[in-house]
Amino acid sequence: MLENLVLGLQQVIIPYNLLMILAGVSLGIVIGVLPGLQAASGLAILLPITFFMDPIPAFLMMVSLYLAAEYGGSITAIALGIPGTPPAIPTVWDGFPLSQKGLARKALGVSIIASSMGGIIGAIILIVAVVPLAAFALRFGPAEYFALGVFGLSLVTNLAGKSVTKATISVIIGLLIVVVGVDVFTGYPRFTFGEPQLLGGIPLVPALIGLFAVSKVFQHLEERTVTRKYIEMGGGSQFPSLKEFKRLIVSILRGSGIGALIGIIPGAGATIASLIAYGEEKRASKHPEQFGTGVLEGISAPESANNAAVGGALVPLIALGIPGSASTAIMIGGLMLQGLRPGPLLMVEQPVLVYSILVGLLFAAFFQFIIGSMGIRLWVNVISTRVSILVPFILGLCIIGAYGLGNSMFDVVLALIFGVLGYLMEKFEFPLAPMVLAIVLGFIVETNLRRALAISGGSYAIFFTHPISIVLIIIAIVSFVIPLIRRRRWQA
Amino acid sequence: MKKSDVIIGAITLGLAICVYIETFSFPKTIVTPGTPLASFFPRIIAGVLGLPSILLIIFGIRTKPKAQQAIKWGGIVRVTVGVLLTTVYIILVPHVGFFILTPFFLIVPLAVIMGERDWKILVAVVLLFSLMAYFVFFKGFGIMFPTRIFM
Repeated sequence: MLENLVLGLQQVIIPYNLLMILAGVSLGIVIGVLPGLQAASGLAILLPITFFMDPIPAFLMMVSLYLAAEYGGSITAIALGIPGTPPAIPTVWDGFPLSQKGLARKALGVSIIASSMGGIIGAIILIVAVVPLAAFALRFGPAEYFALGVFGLSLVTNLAGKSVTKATISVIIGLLIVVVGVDVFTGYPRFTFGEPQLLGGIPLVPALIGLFAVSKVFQHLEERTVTRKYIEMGGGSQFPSLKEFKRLIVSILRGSGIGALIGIIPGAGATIASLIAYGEEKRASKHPEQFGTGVLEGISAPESANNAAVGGALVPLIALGIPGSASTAIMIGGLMLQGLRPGPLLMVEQPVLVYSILVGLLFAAFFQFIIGSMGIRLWVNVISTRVSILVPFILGLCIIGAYGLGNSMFDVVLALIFGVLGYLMEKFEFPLAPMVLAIVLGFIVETNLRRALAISGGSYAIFFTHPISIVLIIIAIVSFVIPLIRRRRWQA
Repeated sequence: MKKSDVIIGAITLGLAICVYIETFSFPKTIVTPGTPLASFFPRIIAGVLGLPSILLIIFGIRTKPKAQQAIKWGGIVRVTVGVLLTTVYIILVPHVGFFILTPFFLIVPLAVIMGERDWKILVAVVLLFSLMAYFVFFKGFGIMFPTRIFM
């Protein structure tokens, strides 16, 4: 493992790759700062560009963007009182009151320290956890892969938003999208309606661009988002004093631990991580009544958690090929786009790439600290970007991205169709993440289901006689049902 | 009753029925014994889709009506115009060319719809987008944009 880490390090320190990390971090902060855009939107816009790059710089840029977008959300939360991204929701509660007291600089300083330390701790946990998990997953056959895919789909209840019924419909529509195209077992074109461009199935990238980027354009058009003005920065030191830092380090470590562990659970994600970390910090505090009035721990705990969750979320992605969120699903799309096979074999077939990602995440967290702390005023200024210009610019980039992969206008048509679909789904409260999960996992589920049945001569017993398969199916049932029960209790 | 949920539930139920029926037109050739047919998985999905669709209709009917929120027609009109503009753009771009049509038919009109009135900003955006598309994507990444009338 150490040898591979050195190999990864050698790749990461290549100047071009460092530049890509730098670009990813900068883009990520901008995406995070802009309300209405999230890591998933940024990754969807970036995805087609990575097609023209080698896999290592492409993925270094993607993980850097993913990490930095989670941090960027806190800038808007502190300076504007609106979370730039959902994981920054708890940061508003204490960050904005601090800004109102004229302590915006210090709040932003605590945020960048906590986020970067969280990112580093998340990356270390990723390095430690991913190798044994991937080694274990190498024992998987078709039955286990099918069960793993079903487990991935069972996360729908975690990603459900307001309605599990709507999330389930979202998953099944995603599965229907996957069955379009030539059936790999029989060669029969399914649901192609005589359109030759659909023989290869619905391409993933235009679908992702449409669902996560074009739909945002339509949302902004509807709301006609106005350019926002942020609160004045205030004077004083940007960083906390040594005494304050000693107090904060406990909350950063606690938040990072919570964030990384919750990040590993597919479907839980950075938002849940930061909310739980905030709640735990408040519970552990000697002065819980001060939370919400502007305490520094109210920033350090959720910010370290949401950045550590990025490292955690990459564990199932790299080790099992299972995305636990929309962002990681898009990164799976990036792997496929590069002609790579997501899953446990990735660590065997592409060790240099995998270890470059692991080491790259550490570098990204470090760069995030440098760029974030040096340019606090600059990043705050991003809030004032004219949305009226940004929105059509994003649409232009989406069109280029969708068209550029295959030089095909058909892909642009698909991006538009999925953009309208994504817009309507969000309007009628159908979550997008379960659909993307199904689009990414659908192929794994169908092919391995049919492969396993072919091996067993059509007997379904194969799924219940293989120990790993049965355990995964039980976990899938539990992970589907428990959030449902919790919801019912919560609603009651 | 929540009308939107009932309508969407009916649409997805209709989709499930259509997919289910369509799978009967798939060939029944057995490749290897035990291997499920091409219709196997779509039929399962269509069957499963029926249940949440029916639930959505039932929940929609049972939902107590909330106080009616005023429909913001301005937003709906802007989205419709945006979708139509993009559709016409997709139809025209192979005949007119990417570099001339994208900034003038898509970027500028959408910026104006979004409320941008400063012509200097609009000119700057046209220039920035065109230069980026040309040097980064056309020259740099080698994307062969549709080029008809002018580059």
